[in-house]
Parts: sequence; C-alpha cells; structure tokens
Amino acid sequence: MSLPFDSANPHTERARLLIELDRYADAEAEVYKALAIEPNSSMLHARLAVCLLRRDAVDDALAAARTAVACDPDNSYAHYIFSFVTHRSIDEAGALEAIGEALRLAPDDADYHYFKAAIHYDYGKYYHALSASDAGLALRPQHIGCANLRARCLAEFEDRTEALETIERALALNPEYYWSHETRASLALKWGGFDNAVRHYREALRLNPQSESARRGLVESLKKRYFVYRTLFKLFDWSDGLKIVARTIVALAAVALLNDALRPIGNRFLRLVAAIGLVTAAYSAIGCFTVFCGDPLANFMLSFEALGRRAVSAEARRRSIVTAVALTLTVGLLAAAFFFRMPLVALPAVSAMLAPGPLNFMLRQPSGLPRLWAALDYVGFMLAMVVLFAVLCWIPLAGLRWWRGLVSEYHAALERRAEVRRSMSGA
Amino acid sequence: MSLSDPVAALRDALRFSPDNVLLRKHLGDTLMGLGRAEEAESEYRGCLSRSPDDVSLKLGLAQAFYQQGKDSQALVIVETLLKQSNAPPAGYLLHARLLLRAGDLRTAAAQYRAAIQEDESLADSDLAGRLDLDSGATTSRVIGERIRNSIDDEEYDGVADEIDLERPKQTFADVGGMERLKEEIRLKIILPMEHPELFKAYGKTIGGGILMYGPPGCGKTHLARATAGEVKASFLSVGINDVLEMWMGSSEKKLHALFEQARRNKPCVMFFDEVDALGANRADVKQSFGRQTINQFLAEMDGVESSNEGVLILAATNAPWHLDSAFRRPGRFDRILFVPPPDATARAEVLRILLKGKPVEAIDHEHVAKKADGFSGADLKAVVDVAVEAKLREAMKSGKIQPLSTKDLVNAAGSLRISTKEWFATARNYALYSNEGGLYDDILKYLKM
Repeated sequence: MSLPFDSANPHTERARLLIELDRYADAEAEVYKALAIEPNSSMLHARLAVCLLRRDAVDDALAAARTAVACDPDNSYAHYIFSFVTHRSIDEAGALEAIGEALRLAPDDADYHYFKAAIHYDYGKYYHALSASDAGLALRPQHIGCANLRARCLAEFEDRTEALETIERALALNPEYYWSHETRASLALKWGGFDNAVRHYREALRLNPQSESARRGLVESLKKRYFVYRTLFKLFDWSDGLKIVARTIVALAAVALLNDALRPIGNRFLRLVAAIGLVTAAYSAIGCFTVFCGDPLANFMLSFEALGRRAVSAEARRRSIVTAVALTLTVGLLAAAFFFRMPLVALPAVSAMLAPGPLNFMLRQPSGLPRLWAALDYVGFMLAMVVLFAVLCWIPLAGLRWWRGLVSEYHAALERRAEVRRSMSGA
Repeated sequence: MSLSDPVAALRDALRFSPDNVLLRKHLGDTLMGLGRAEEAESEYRGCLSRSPDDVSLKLGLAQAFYQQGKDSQALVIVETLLKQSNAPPAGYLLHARLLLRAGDLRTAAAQYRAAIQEDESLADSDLAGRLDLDSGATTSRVIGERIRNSIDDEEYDGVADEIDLERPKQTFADVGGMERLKEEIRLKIILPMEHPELFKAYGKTIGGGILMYGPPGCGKTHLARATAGEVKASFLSVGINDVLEMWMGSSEKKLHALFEQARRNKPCVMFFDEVDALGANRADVKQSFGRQTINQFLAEMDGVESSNEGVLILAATNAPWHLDSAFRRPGRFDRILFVPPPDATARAEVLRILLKGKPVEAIDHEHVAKKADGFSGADLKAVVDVAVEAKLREAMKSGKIQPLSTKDLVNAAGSLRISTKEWFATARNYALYSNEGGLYDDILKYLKM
C-alpha cells in the first residue's frame, strides 16, 4: 500500500515512516498525536485505519476509514483505504464502490486499478480482474502487482504463453519481489513443472519467510512430485467437480462393486464375519484414503526429506504421523486376519483404520480437560464401533442359526413322517 | 487534648470516629509532614483497609514507604498507580525519585517531565538538578517551561540535542544467567578496555559493535547497561525517538552529534535500542531521507570523519531480519549475539534478583523457574509483580505484611502467558527460509531443529 508524502505535521511524517518500517503500534500512537493537532485530517484518519487494520481491529479501522472519507470526500486516498478495509471485512460491493470512487477522483493511479483487480480476483471474477490489471499496466507498465495479477488471471483462462511471458517480465523488472516468485511458482505447479515450482517457492520464502501461501505452495509442489499423490489429487479434483447427486451415485456404485469383488475372497477365507469386515474396511479405505488419509500420508512421505520436513507445519506433521501409524496397524491386522484365518482381528483393524480422524481431533485440543473430554469421546466412539460390529455379526449368525434350526426341524419332521409311513405300511 | 499538638488532637478525634477515612488520612498527611513516616504508614494502611481503591491513599502509603527507604514496596504501588488512567501527577514525581535512587536517571528524567507537564507546581529544582535537567535554569517555572519545550515536538528546531549520559551502577553481577553472552562481551569489550596496550601492540583498535537480537523482554537493554557499568564507562542510550526526526537532514545531524558526544566522553558505550528502526533494510525504506539516515549511521560506525577509538557500540533489536545487511560487515556489528529467553538456572537467578528486598519466606526458586518454562526476563518480572500485587491486596485488607511464598509465585506464573511465543514463530520462519550465512543458526539450535 503506497503512502503519500506530506510534511506539515511532524507526527504525520513520523507516523508515515513508522508505517513504512512496519511498526504499526508506534505509528498508531503517532497518528493519535497528529490527530490532536489536526483532528479533521482525512489523511491521518486514513493512516489510523491502516494501523488499526494491521492489528486486526477491522471494525475500528472501518470507522476510521469512514471518518477519513467524511473529512474529505474528494480525497481519493481515503476512498482507497476505505475500499481496502471494506474488502477485509468481506464486502465485495462496498469495496468495489469505494475503489470506483477513488478511481473517479484519480483515474490515473495505477495502484487503485491494481486494487480493483485484486478485489475482482479474490472473488473469482478473472475477466474483470484482467481488465483492471491491464488498465493499471497501461498507466504504469512496470507495476509489478498488476503484472502478477494479470499473469494469474491469464492462467485461469489457460493462456499459458501470455501468463508466463507476463510473469517473466515482472521477475526481470524486480527479481527480489517475493510475490512474483510465488506467482511464477503457482504457474509452474499448475502446468506440471514441479521442480521449477519448488525453486520459485523457495525463493519467495527466502525473500519473505512469513508468506504462508508460499509455504503451503512449497509443500504442495513437493507432494505433487509423487505419482500416487498426483493421481489421488486428480481424483479429488474430479469428484469435487461433480454435483452432490452424481457424487452419491458414484460412491454407492463403488461400494456395490467393492462388495461384489471382495465377497468371494471373504467367503473363502474368513466366512461371514471377515467378509463384512473386509467390505467395511475396503469402503473405509477408499473413504478414508481419499478424504482423510491421502494428504497426511503425502506429508508423511515429505518427512523423509529435509526441505519437506521443514515446510510441513507442526500440526500437519503430527497428523501425518498419527495417520501413518494407524494405517500401518490396519494393514498389519488385516493381513493377520486374512492369512491366519482370525476373522475377529478384522474388528481392531477397522477401528485402527477409523482412528486417525478422532485421534487428530483429540490431539488438536488444548492439553488438560478439553483433551481429556476428546479422549473420552474417542473411547465412546470406539465402544460404539464394537457394539455396532457385534450387532452386525450377531444378526446374520443368529439368523443362520434360526434357519439351520428350522431346516433341521423340517428334516426331523420329514423323518418322523417317513417313519410313520413306514410303520403304517409294515403294519 | 492539646491544640498545639495537631497529631494528638487528630488522634483524639479519631478515637470518637475511628471509621472516618478523611480524618485518618489527614492524620497520615500530618505525620508525613512531620517526617514520622512509619506512623503515617500505619494510618494510611488503616485508611486503605476501609477504602482500598483510593488513589491518594495509595500514593500516601507509597510516599511513606519511600521516606522509610522501603523502595521496592513503594515502587510496586507507584507502578500500579501509573498504569491507571487517573494516575496522579505526584505519582510520576515519586516514581522519578524512586528511579533516581535506583540509578535509572534517564527514565527518572522522563517521569519528572511527565509530572511537570501535568502539574507545573510540582517542579523541584533540587530533583531537576540531580537529574541534570537544571543547567542554566534559576526557577522552577523556567525549568517547567524548558521541559515542556523539550517535550513539545512542535518547538523542536532541528538542531541536534545531546542525550543525557548515564553512569550505570549495574554490573554483570546484576544480570541473571546469560553467561555465554557475558563472556562474549567480556572478550570483545571489557578486556580491550582493561588492557588497551595489548591490543594496540597487535594493531587492534578498541571498539566496534555487538548486535544483540532476540525476543522482547529477555534482557538485551539490561545487559547493555550492565556492560557500561562493568567497564565504568559512560552510557549513551539512543532510542528511536532520539534519532528519527522527520525533517530532511535533521536525522543525520543528530546522529552525527550523538557519535561526537560519545567520542568526547570516551570510554563510552553507545547503545542503540530497536536499531532495526534506525538501520532498516534500505530496500524497505522508500523515502530518500530514510536511506540517508542509514548511510550516515554506517559512515559514523566506520569512523569516516572521526575515530571511534574507545567508543563501544551495542545495539539491540527484536527484528534482525529488518536490519540492512551492510550493518553486519566487519568493523560494524561484527558480533551478532542471540539473546534467548533465560534457561532454568538463569530463571532462578533472575527470580532471586527480582525478589531481592521483598518480603519473602523460604522460596524454592528452582521450582518456580521450572514452572515458568519459556518465560522471558520481562515475564518473570510480571510473575513477581502479579504475586506482589496479590499479597499487597491481602496486606491492605489485613493491615499485616504477608511474605511471598513459592506457591504465590507458582500461581502467578500459571496465570500469565509466555510472551516470546509469537516472536519465535516469526524467527523460526526466517531461520528456516532466509538463513543466509547461518545468521540464525542459534535460533535453530535453540528450537532444536
């Protein structure tokens, strides 16, 4: 955000420099001192809004920005800041209206065009974002923010050549701007240049180690190098694109197919109980692997390389370890059930399969009572699973027993009848 | 009852009306006027047990403590009072006196200025003289006027003012823990000071700089002051407000004047607090005058115009990543020291120092230190303050001084949050992704990464 220069009030200048140095708390104090001298300064209220926004006091920032506009409705910078704050409070129409007013007052300001493009981009209106960034670049061809947004919008329209050219130009203009590296990396990630994406994300992080989006991008590009993850990612992407009805039909079809495919194996080796266990496990495997386990397992794979280990957040790392341990246990138990013909072992195997979700939830809770409650919840969940499985197993077994009883009774009755007939014919 | 003895008269009156707080306070004030601080303390305590929120009573009690030399008790009350929005101007004055006794002239002067700004009638030429604020001024009115002018930035004419030099009394013995840092400073600063001939024989100049970085509240400023005390050098503390003047060219002039002041008063330890504000990465500072200040600072450190022999430069920052890399070149801040939060032994040591002079029973410092894992020095001070405040409230109700116990301190530690967490979250990112030349290896080591 650019800050205009003005020198009449010493506190104003001090505040401006402090904002430039990212010392927002000190700057805020200076702005208040300056406001004591010039209480109706639109610029000062706008700066106050900037400081307040930096410490996430969005409502106060909004009030300050509104005051800035009221103090001088012809101050385009005040409208720009008002738009900035409004955008942060997730008000698309308000933000666009304010930046529109700023542009009406100062149509030649490339920063305002850039911000208009940023608003459109954030709301997925890439065509409008592209027009606004083009307008900004027409006014200031070296505007790196506009170039970045232009490249990102072009990527959304799959215009690979133009997008890459735009971002390469921006990088040539200023190779030390972290966001250009992030944009370049995101384009590489989109079009399969995973090593290139890793390189640019690393550079972005070197220039701005606080960039959370670059860190996330780095993790994603590292994971995308694995074929299995890429394939699964495509599967998620495809299923995400389906409507809810279509997704449900696909899921049910998958269950039916799996059930049919696995039943002969279950019947042959483990009989009824194991068949239920296997089908449930297979279904859980697909459900869990795609929804809960795919991402943590990929993170677990990253823990074997230094860069990945550092880039993955502590929370994600913990989740990945829990998931990996649970799945290893599941595979081991299922193998034991299968090869040693121990159908009941399928039960803890399925429990282990379903454990990562609740376990991770439990570990996310603060230590002490909240974690204890979560643990009790988990124990309750496991007990419910046991009861459910017991019921699932008992109903067919009891039914079978009843049927067998019925059949043997029928056979006995037939036997008795035959005996009676034999005795009658003998007589 | 004798009217010639106002104390006796007031005591008689109180016998008939023992719950009359105003009357008892008047008795306390009268006793204070007669220099009978111990008796006054008892009266103020009596009043506070009936009216515990009365600011003037608390101030009276603090003054009684001050007169009896019970500075730590007085400080606790005054510091609590000054945190309130309705802090009395006399509170600032008493704070100034207490800080003067503690040897912190700079803060004392600032508090004195604050008192005078609020209430001109509080001007005290004797105190102002001891704070080195009285040169040339003959009356308190003149002092007040001069102080107001110095506070009022509107009147600043752009001419570089000199900063008050300190002679700190603290030494390394007053700094808990930090043994590695003390050793580094001893090697870089103290030994050259004590044996200049050895260094000259090898053609080494005495001087140069040390940059300390780390989370806020871990004792960087304290260590700098103790360094000056250790070598018995003058101490020139330069904060952001002393240098960042917003007129073109003014910053550079002031900066030059400060270095000249240090050179005139050598041996001198110059301490730049929050140096990142002064020496921010030039790429981050868009306006040309900001860059000029940085260039001037670099030139002064290099001793381009005048030699820095005997001038030791210490700087502290919470954000070393914002500092221009030019500052890290040899001859400038060529030693960069990480000041971590104190370890368990150091925490126990800090607690011992903080509890010195306070009413305590047998304290298990190690146990409290263990419970305060990750706490900075400032956090530990907050622990002691919170525990003291709780005890003070009890004492005001009961009228008896209760000594601090281990349990009080552990409870206080449990009620406070570790302030360094946020800093380490940021520092970790810089250490992981922007650790050029292993600059932040100490952070990685501390975080066991």
